Amino acid sequence: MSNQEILNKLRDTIVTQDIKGCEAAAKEALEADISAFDAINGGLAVGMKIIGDKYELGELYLPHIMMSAKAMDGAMGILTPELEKDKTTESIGTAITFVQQGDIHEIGHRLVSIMLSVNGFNIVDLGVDVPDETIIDEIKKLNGSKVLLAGSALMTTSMQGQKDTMEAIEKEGLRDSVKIMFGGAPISQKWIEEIGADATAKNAADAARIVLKLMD
Amino acid sequence: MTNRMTPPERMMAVMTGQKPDRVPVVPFVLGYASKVTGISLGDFYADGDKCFEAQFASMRLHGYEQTPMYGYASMGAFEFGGEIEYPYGKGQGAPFVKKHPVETIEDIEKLEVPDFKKELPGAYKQADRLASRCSELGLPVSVQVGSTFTAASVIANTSEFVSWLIMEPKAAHSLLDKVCNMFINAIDYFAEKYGAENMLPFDGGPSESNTMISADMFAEFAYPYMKRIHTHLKELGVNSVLMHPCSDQNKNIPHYIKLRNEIGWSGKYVWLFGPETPVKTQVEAFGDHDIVCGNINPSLFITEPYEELLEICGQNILEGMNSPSGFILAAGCEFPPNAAPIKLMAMLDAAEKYGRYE
Repeated sequence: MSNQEILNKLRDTIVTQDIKGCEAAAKEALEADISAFDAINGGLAVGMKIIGDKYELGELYLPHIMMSAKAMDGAMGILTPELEKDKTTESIGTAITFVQQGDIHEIGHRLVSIMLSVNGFNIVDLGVDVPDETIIDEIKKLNGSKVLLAGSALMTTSMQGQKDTMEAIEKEGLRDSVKIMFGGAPISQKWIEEIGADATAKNAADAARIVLKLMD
Repeated sequence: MTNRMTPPERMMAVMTGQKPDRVPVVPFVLGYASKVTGISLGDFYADGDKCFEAQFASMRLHGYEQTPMYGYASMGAFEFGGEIEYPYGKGQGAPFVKKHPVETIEDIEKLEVPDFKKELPGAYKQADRLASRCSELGLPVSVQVGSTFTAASVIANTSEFVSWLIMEPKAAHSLLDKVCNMFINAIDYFAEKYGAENMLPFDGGPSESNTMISADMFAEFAYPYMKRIHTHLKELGVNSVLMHPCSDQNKNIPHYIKLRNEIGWSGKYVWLFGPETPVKTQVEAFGDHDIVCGNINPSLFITEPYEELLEICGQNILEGMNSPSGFILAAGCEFPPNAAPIKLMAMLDAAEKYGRYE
């Protein structure tokens, strides 16, 4: 089997939510001397982008995405140790992803983290219910590199905390060192403008597309 | 007409198919009411009496037509033995799950359906307190009776649950069946205690929205349980049900339409869809039999000024007020707990300015 055929297999196992097949294809890729980086970018990421597009078009739904994500997690478990050995690849930047303080709705956040990851970002996933202090500390740690802050909120109560986050970032003098995107059901472009963030997106696939332009 | 209707008269008119003096307003107030009596949001949900008093005060203060109710989106987990936390912290908007009673498929088998004949399970104790206060005043008893699908999605770890729809459909159905039985038990308890004819049950949730599952999945995993619950409500003699298909459920509408025919329902549904569903679509789908609600996007009550909201609500009213079986102005999901009172006033003012039938 050619290298391209193995990459296609990786892609297809993601698209068909074949969890075991995806792991097997990841092993097959390494055995064929395909680098972990190429296996991710030429296989898994391509599959996840297809899944993201199909979700956006209403052809696939959350259960399928969660299954594809599981398939990807399994393959990443095999590929990541190899990736660690090869630090020469350059990423688009680092995305700090989180759910706003007071909010534990994690699914949208997970999808955004996955889509940003497959589009070339290093991900620092802070999880759910994240206070501003944690966010500020993380931006400071990454100061000097290309940083994207991607936060989500599913309730109007947590959405309002985004304004506090923006003020905290300004107060610490960090605003120029980070691009800021907020998403979630109650978030509108008007809200983004009101609080002085950079962008919002209607779903995870859209988020990946928008931040690629934002980080240019 | 010189004498204006009171809020109960207005609501009674629309519920019985008569024309009220103006479009009634049900702003979907829950947590917002806690500000009216100066209690914390946590206490609002943790204490059914305080929950009633806050909503009753807010209702009187603003003059809207919504009567007190108890419920929240993640109801179910506590009742099945999980842990919830009340919203005392920054950014929190409603009780949320700290520990799911179901983490694995094996947990489903061990799960026991709450027995309402013993001690009331979880938050139903508070719902009962609120119901008794409503009943004392002759207000409708509104209790949460669904959705089964949304409750199952928080009783289990949500990510796992949605995967089971594909990987382990039998297990998903087993969980849904138990959750449905809990709601049936709840219905029996409240109907027996307060009278089925006095109930205005609330059914709905966000997890079956089409941002999460397809219409086919809705047909397989959500609809059968909804049908069972509504058949039971009908058999007990419940006359009306408040339906809240939360978030984007446009692709599920054909299933909601067929519900009435399949169970032979002759009562009244009050449909309160998310802002993603145009009022016109709702009128076409349900207007011949049921009351349709407006659905102002809740976040607009945060971002828009009073003057703008007045016009947005006005537009919503004009789209729906001539629906054949009645129309109510509402927010498309819970009115933001932290919105300024003047934003709620905009709904009432819009109903007066644009929604007069006289």
